Amino acid sequence: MNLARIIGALLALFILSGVSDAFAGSGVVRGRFRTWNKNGNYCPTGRDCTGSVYTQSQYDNNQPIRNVKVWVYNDTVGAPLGEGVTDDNGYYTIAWSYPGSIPNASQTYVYWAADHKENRFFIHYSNGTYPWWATATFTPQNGTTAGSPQQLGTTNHGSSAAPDLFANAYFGAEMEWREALNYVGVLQANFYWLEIRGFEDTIDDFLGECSTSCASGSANRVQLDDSAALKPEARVMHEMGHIAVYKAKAYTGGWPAIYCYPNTSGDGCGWSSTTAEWSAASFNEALATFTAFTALNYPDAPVPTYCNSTGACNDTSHNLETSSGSSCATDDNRRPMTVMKYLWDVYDTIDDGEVNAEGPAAYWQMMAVLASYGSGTSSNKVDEPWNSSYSALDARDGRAVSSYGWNYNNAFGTSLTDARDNNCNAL
Amino acid sequence: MASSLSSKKSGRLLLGVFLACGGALLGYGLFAAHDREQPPEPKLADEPPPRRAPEKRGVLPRRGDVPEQGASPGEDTLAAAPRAGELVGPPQIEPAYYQRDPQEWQGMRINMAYRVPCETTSTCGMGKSCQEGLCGPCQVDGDCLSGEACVLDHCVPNEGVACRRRADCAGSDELCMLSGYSADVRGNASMKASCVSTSSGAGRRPARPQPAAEEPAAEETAPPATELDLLFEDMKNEPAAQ
Repeated sequence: MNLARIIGALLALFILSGVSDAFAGSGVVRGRFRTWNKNGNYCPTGRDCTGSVYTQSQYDNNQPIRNVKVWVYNDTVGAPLGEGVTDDNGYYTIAWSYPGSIPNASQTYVYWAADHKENRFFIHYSNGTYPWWATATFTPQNGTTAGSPQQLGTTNHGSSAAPDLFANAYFGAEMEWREALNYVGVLQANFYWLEIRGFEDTIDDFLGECSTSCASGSANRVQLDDSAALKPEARVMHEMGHIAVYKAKAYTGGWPAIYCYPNTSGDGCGWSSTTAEWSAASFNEALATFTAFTALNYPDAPVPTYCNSTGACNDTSHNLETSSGSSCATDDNRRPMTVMKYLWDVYDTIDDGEVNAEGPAAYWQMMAVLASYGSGTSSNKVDEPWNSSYSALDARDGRAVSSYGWNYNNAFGTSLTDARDNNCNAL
Repeated sequence: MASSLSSKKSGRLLLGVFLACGGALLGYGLFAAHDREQPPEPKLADEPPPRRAPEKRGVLPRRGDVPEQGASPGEDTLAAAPRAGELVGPPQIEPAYYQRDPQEWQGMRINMAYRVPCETTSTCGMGKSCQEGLCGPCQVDGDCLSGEACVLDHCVPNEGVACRRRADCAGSDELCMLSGYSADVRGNASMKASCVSTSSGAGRRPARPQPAAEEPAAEETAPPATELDLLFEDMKNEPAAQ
């Protein structure tokens, strides 16, 4: 009798301990994440939005969180129970498993962090920790399957009055990768582990002080300033463009006083899209921006725009399709906006008086050409602005439109002279 | 005699239960120990820098988080989103990426610092394999499910495997790359391993409408080829630039 009781007690203990079946629980959950999108730079209703990737219909409402990493998690367990990714519509389907009974099972949840599913980029707080967003808690249903998953529904974050700025930054960054950089083989090979931090003007032990956002290719970092949120084109997408330029072909940056045109010395100088700059600077900024406005527009867009705004861009002063033609202002050939229009003219399929129209099929070439630049500091080489000993700059207008056209012709046999002529003979 | 036999049987049974309990508990202990004491992968020079200590604001759900009121048909909508402070949240762990031959493509390396428990590979997501109770990189084809091959630490469906390593690629500027994860349970339904030239690219897709905000859920058991899959097909077939 006593023996039977002992056996019974042991069996009960055995079962209750949860180790009678090494993996007592497993199942599949399915759901969707969205965030309230308040990113600017959309094509507004009422404008001809042909070819626009990002229209006002996606603005000020919930949009999917695409291609991001997702985990099933339980605080008491203190470890992930499952992992997966979302698709282009924000849906995830994840298997979970746990050896035994999940403690406090009802407190399980699914969360996403701003980590691109393939480690292309991560978005972190200024101190390096990461934001995360969770579903409501639920009790995992054992035995659910991929064909009949436990449905968690859609979880939304943010609101029109209080959009989540980091989730919105992810929305822009993901679009930049998916719609632009993704098409280029050398970026498929080299563009990953980019750490993006925001939103602070100064982040010590990261990129320091940069009040209008900045990027470091060698450090593989992007820093977003404290007012960079919701301005994807001029901020997170543009800065990712800088990283892409570097990843296509590493170059020696840190050009002294390059933003101080017409001076060759000075510190703390900035740039704008409509002021004259040393051409190495104007081209570099325009090329980074090119990746942003081409992510937002296909080459048949009649009104592609660029601006630093949380709203729609002005379609006259900021229209990239309005080429300068022959009516050029003084120093127009040094303005980043002129170079942006040149790059758009190379890419677009709109008939605007020049023959260049690389179009969607050759889009990748416009970034891949950078990988074909020769090493060194002589004309048309990757470090053209520098003198041969890299001790000072001797060609501040080097590594710009002229050398880009030369290398493009050399790599792909296509002259870009016509587009250049159509844009004030940009340097 | 009968009593004696019964006693012996009971004794054997008791011994068996003790052994089973002990074995299971030992196994559980080993699992837990393995979970806790898994040595971190050696840090690599090109890994992201260490993060600072966690910040409280980084681990709280947002106040604006709300469940959708009009979920797609067939989907249950959760009753309430967690309130700020209700959840502790995941740990802020520095990633430790599984090492790969530096001559190979370095994309999609697996974070060994944050791992999911498993009993079988079929429950591991993101193309991972179940090794010693944890999802992680595969080493050989046998670590993967039937019909999958191990390429660049990931289990890839056999029909998608055109290369296994850089040496399988013809061009000096080609790398064997993975096309990316898909949003199915295994995360690899449309994954491909192909030789991609670093001086190539893919044609941009023609203008297409963005997914509707209220698009209904799609069945995920057999996901269609994604945009990335199609892109990868283009890219691997694109002639290399001169």
